[in-house]
Amino acid sequence: MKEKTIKKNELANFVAGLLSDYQVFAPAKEEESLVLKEMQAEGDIDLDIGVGPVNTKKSIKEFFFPQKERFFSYDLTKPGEMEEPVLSDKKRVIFGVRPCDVNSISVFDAIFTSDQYPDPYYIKRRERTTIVAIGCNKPETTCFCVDTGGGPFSADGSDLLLVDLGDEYLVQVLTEKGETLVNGSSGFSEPKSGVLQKRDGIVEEAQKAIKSDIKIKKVKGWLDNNFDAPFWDTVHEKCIGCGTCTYLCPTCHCFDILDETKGEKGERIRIWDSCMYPQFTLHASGGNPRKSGKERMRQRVMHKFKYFVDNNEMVACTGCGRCVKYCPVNLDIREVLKQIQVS
Amino acid sequence: MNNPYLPIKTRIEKVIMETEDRNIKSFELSFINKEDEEKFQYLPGPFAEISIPGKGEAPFGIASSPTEKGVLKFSINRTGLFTEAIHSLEEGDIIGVRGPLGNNYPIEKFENKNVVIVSGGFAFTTLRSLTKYMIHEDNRSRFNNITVIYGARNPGLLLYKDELKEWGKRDDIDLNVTVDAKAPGWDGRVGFVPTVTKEVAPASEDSYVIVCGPPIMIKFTIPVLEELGFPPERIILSLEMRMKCGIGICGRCNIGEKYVCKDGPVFTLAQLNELPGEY
Amino acid sequence: MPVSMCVCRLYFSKQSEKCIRCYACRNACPLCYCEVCCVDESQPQWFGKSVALSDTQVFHLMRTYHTAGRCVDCGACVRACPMDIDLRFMNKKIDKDVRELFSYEAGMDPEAPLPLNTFKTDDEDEFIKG
Repeated sequence: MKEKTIKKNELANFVAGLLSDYQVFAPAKEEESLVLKEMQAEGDIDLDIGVGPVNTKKSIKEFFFPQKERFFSYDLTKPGEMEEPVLSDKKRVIFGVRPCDVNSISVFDAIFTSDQYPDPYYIKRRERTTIVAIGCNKPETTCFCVDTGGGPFSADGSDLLLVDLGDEYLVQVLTEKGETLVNGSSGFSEPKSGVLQKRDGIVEEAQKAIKSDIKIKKVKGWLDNNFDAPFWDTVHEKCIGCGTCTYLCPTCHCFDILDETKGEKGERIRIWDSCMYPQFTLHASGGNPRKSGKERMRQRVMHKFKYFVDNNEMVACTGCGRCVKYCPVNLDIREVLKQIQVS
Repeated sequence: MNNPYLPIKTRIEKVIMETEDRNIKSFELSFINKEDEEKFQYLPGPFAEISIPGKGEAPFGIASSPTEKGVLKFSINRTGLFTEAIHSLEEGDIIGVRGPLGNNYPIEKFENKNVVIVSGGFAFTTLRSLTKYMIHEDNRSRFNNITVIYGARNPGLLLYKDELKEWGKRDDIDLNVTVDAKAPGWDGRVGFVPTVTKEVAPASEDSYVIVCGPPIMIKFTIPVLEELGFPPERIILSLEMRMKCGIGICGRCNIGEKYVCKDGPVFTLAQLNELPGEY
Repeated sequence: MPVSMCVCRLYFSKQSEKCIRCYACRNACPLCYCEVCCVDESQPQWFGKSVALSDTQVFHLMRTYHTAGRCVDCGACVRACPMDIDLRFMNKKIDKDVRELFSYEAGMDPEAPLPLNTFKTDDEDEFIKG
């Protein structure tokens, strides 16, 4: 792995230089929160995101798996005809993505790039995207990435990873895509002596700042044997069954496929759906295998920390903490997992 | 790259009203493009998503046998808006199909074994495919005795009546058709499927049994089969769940870590016993 | 269109754009008690399920109208919303209209008939004759 440095005041230049070849997205403040916004012109997004919230409210997943995907359009007067959308192949850079979000890409890859059923929409978007991640010097109190196999500087899924060293960034060049970006700019230098040690210190400090202590393997071991445990009878009780946790989650990927028609024209679409909604598993006959909050909460926990591990050897959670932070009833997944851990 | 979400185009060649209550129709479809037909390879057991623009998609078991070249058959019970829409289609109409999806019956394991098929009502569709496949002249010699036990509430609700008559005349298949209660003009067996299974008492040694039917029938048939000596590894079931994507990712049809649409719909009882009872 | 309406409409659009259709507002609302919410109806499907602006706006409008004259401005919807949508903006407008049209304020008198749940068959207004 190559390592470079770039001065903070050079960064805007570097990103601006990408605009001729790439669409560039970066976190921008909107009201009180961060959103990934497309940069229209040089300097219209302040790249110094060191103050305020650490992560964007919505995760990066909508860049690869948008809330609504059109499969084809149809015209009821022309049976058998389908018009497929033309997907953009414009190259793009998503800048300033946090490690928990880039780590979620491995989860999505496992689902959408399988040999048996590769998803053409996802793959096309993945191919045209280069990700510049930025490590988290100051993780938030809701972060628990170190417990789910990642960390505040975990690079898995990114093409470049920036580490904020104060007056400059250390840039880890992780892929060819990342290398292309770095090679196209003159702002990068070789790291001076002491820089890597400084980085190690920052990484260690950030890791220590994450206080949660979930033993994910222990949790899995309990889940393996406790589908029917009385634990599930009460743990869901305060959940109001909204879709906040699943929609903001960078790894949740459940969806529905349906047709929406206006007049004679319509489209077949894929839209996000949530296992927390009662309608999700409702059969046309009226039966429902996950009929109450108990079954639905169990499904969400089991899917993330057992079923997905059984099938893909990784947990479907990157510890980003969005579900913790935004749950309207403060149902903290870390607390749920800790209760399981001591069971 | 194949797009797993796009339906292929088929034409409705034949519509058959199967039942006297006029609720179940069979549709025989032909492929419009030759290459779609070549790609649509399956053995009995899988399902497909039938697609009607404006109405959406819904999963149905494939009732045709791969030995029926160029024909895709579905038998569809009218229960809601979508099936109502299918029922209103006519011969010559164009309809989309996405599949084949899911696994098939473990036919290679049935070779040189006895095969017992137990089915009730409307669930006979993929078992029609299996029976048709096994008794085809190219395949019949691969299997030992074939026993079929098939029941419906009354004679009018039996599917594939002409075929049942034909199979009844053959001596290489032991066909037992039953109805729940006596009915005028019916001179066949009378009795519920589990009871008839007990009477027919197919040998469990060197045998596989496939059970498909309404939950209540399955509930009472399994103990009979266990009594007859069938081990759970040789009792095979086909499950129904709310399936959408059909490729194991949309998240609604899983039982534990298994997805009915991708890892199923065909499971052995032994496999199901290992899974949580969330179905 | 008067300027103030234009501004309101723009503001409402801006707010609705943030909606992710998680239904936290509805599920947290003490007034939303329907067994099946109109957004979840599939037969017929009243409006689209995606995040098209027209659909999210219809959802929020529908909910606002449905709670009109009953909403006591408890703010549960605003606190529940993960996207910081200013949902009270709509409710306040409806509260004001109900106050002006029916001299009624929700939550002040438990015995008072609800203005939008009450009708007389001999009402002189045209709309009742429908």
